[in-house]
Amino acid sequence: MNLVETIFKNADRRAVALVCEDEEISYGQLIARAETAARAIAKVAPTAQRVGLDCPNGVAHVVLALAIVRAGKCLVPLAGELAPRERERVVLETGLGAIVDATGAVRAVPPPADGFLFNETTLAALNPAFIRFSSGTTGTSKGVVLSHESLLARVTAANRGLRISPADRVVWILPMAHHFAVSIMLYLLHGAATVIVNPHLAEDILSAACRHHCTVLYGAPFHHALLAAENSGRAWTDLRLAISTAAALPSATATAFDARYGLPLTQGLGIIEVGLPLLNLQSARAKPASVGRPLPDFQVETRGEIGELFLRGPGMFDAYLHPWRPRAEVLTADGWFRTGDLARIDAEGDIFLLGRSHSVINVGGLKCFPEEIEAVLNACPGVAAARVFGKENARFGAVPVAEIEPRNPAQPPKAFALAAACREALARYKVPVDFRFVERIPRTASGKIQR
Amino acid sequence: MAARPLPAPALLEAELVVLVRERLLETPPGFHAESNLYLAGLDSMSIMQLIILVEEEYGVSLPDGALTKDNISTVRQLAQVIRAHAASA
Repeated sequence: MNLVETIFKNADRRAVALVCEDEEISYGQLIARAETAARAIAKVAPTAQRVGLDCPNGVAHVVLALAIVRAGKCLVPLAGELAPRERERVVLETGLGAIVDATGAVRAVPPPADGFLFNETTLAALNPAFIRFSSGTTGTSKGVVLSHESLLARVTAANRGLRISPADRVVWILPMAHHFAVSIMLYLLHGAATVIVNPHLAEDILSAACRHHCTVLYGAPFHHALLAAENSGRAWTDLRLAISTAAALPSATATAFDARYGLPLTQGLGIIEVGLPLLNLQSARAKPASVGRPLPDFQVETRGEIGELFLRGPGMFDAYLHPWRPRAEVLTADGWFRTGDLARIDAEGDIFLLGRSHSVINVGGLKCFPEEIEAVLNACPGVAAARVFGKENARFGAVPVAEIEPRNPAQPPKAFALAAACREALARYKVPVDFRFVERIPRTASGKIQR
Repeated sequence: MAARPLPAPALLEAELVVLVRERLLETPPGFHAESNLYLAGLDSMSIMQLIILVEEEYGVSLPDGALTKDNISTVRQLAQVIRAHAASA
């Protein structure tokens, strides 16, 4: 099964698929463009199994992503904010055979001299459509593999809550390199139009939403706060569903958005390994801080004294790529995924996230792990040890801050040099906003730094 | 890098130009306080980073309503917004 073939086969070719800066693209046009691009990809990189996409938000991103999958390749988005070294790691660890850029140019990548870091035959047997190269939810394994079948299953399950139909027009403001599968793929599969807005400040979003009669908003709390403060007084009359995802939604933002647009924000919990299992459809107005209840196909449990959230349902990820761990090894024996989120379920079944049992820092929806930042800092001259943590930030949830234990307290390294080293090696949102010099970073008995 | 008092207007602009050039965008040659930030590549991802850097660096909290397209279209505009909200804090 090829998910993109399924999308193409089911599409009403006259319907609008994408809108971007007043250019309307029908499903027929989208399919034609993607088929042309797919042939170019197949011609330049006939043997490539996995193809990277290096393209900012826009029509081209959608066309080329579909083209890669249509050509029978596995899509690996290369997020624009990656630092060169991070990008090289993605190319190597996912074993890319080609990279497509924003113009549609295809560049073949020679296979690594030492071979791939995983077994190609085992991976191919999964029928992979998509690899999201992130640390996943739990931090240690890289590259989340999703098959065509899993994608279809999770998109179908998610739409039992979202109820996207050909009547919908979705405002798109999130980075496509991070959100594509259970969003744009879902909208295309269900015949909706996606309205791409860039940049993402309130007046642009609202203008596009009103002009194109958008019915669904899918954004992060940052966007919702700006939209709530938008003071032109223009009504957004067609809005039927406003989803908040990527980071915890502050109650003040939810209240202000509801007051401004007359519709409460609905939080959802999207997890790359699982899909969209939770959506606050029942209690959005009364309990905006809740991530809601499980959609019909999902089951949820909290376990242990601290209440760690476990989920079970269709369309779960197929494997972690590096190190290789098939789904069956990651899930519990009875098929539950351990999310690493701490949660409370109230008497009505509404779920509230309380924090993470892992050390992930969520910067406005972009996640990073202290360990990757510490590794860069520890390699800097003059640093004896580094500890990175998320400092609370009202607008974005958290921002990374570093504590540095200098080798020589009389001559600590310069903060600007540490920041420069981080910028060289890491995406910008991972660069600590503050470097604090401390005498000693507390360590555990085994010598690990204390968190 | 912790929050500190706001520098004088001209210096604030100069610092912001350096911040944008060195920590945010691959700015074109000749980038200055009146250059259009969107034309210099400011997109949704870098807008977020710009706000984080400015708020952390100068210890200001810019209200959501101040984050309009115009207000962050140039370093000069941004500097005015920062000054307005540092003064009222």
